Amino acid sequence: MIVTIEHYLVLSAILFIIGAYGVIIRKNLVIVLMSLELMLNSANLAFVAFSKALGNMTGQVFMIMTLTVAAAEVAVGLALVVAIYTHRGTLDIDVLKMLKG
Amino acid sequence: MDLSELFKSTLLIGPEIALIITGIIVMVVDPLIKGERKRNLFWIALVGLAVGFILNLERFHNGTSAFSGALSLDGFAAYFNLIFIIGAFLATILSKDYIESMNLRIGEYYALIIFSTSGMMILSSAREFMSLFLGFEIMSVSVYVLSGFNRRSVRSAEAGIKYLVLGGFSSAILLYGIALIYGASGTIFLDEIAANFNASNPLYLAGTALILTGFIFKIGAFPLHQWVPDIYEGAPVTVTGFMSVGVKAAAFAILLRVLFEGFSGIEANWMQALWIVSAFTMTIGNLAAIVQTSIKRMLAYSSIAHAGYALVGVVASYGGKELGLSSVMYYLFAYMVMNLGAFGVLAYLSKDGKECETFDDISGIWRRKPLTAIALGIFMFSLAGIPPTIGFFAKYRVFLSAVKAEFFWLAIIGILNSVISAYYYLRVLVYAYMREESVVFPRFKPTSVVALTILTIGTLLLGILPLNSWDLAIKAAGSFLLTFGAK
Repeated sequence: MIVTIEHYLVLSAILFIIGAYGVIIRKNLVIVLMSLELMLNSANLAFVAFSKALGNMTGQVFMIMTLTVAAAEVAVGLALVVAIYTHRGTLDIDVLKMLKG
Repeated sequence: MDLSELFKSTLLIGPEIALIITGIIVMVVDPLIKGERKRNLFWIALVGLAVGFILNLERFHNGTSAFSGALSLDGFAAYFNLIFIIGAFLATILSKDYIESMNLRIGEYYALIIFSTSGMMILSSAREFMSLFLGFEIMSVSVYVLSGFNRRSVRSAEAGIKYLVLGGFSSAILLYGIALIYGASGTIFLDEIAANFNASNPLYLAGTALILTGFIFKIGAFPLHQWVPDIYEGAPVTVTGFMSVGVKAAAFAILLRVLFEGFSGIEANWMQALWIVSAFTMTIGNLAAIVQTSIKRMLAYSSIAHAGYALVGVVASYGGKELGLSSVMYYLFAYMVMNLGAFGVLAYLSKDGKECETFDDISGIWRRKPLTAIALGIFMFSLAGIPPTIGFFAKYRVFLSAVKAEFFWLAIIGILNSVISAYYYLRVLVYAYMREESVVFPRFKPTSVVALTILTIGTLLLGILPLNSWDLAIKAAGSFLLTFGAK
């Protein structure tokens, strides 16, 4: 079977939807952060696939930039998760309900 | 692009570089000095912002582009940079006393405010998706940290993590949209995308929709506005003030740039979508603000409503109308002055690790602190759009541009919403002027008073005498339309 650009795009769309589903449904903060990474990486996959199909390097450069951004975001995310854990002793997302009006 | 052009471009982005260097200096110097002397970091931050401000003024006269057209350093970007830098400057002044009364760490706070401002400045001049995305994330990640900055408060940490998860979600949607547009057009430059735009290709339409979703989230407009009240309430109050004016203005800057430069091919479609978004944003923001019991949360809903008013101007600039564009820019400038003032009063009244946020915390302030009460009154009048404040003139210009562009219903919905909003803004004044005090107010704080005085005078005077603020907005809108040769 020849792997075409469509296969990559379908895979990236599926990964994106799994990631979005994880952010919305999962209850554990660390898993939510991982799902967020999955969403960003599915976009990266689309960039690389398009870059190969179009024969232009912009997409690959963009992908590397996105990786750095994702790393920064996850570092901040884990720091905030630690802050929540020291206050609450749990990572369950349901404890995040102090702010309501 | 050869090295000499790279060097020239680097010199052209002086204001951004000034801010980034200041941020790095603040971060490096912070661990080297101890105790009381850390307070001097405040002055480094102010000097850096002032240098950025002065360097930025140059862009009004001769706009250029840098990095092979990736950044457009025109009057449009310069006007928005003015909003960000003045906002950051005043927020920094207000923060000094607030940080001391809440006992927060000093160094990173100023550095993050400055880094976030530099991200906004890159965002406002981006004409290409990579700079756009990086500017967007430099701004957002700094603001996530600032929201969770008060580590002793569980509510601040909660606001930080919520902002990070939801903001990351919207960034991922934006990024996926950019990937689709890149795949369809083979380029990430806005002008080339506009030239290749083909509305019958589903990749373009899906990409456009995803990118707009990301921006609507950052603006805090309907239907993606639910995060705004939670995060604005939990974050430290000076940070809320800073992000409600800075992040919102930056998101509007890039929304205008992408819509008019990149997606002008399907103008009629996004105009209709934004018409609906704008009408719902104003109405929902105002109706929800009425029932709030916390002033901070009420101001959060009011900021949703103000995003709706500014969107009226975006819709009214449909077809590249100068009046609509300049009214949006002026509105965001006016919103910066008055909203930062309102949050500044709350920061001023916070003490000993407790923020001023409920109506009880401000009741009876007129008897004890009449000048603060007058400042609060002026900001509330301005937010409600009552003359002769800057808020009235900004709203007037937005609605006038809507009427001139023949969006009569949108203007009527906007005006009705302003009337509703007067109810909850004036309720703050009822508490401030007519009730007995129930808490002890903090002592006089000289630094914050300087910023509050500037903001009060600005709110009162700029409405009557706009000085250069309105002319510059018109000039900036003109330079923006010139860059892509619109009708």
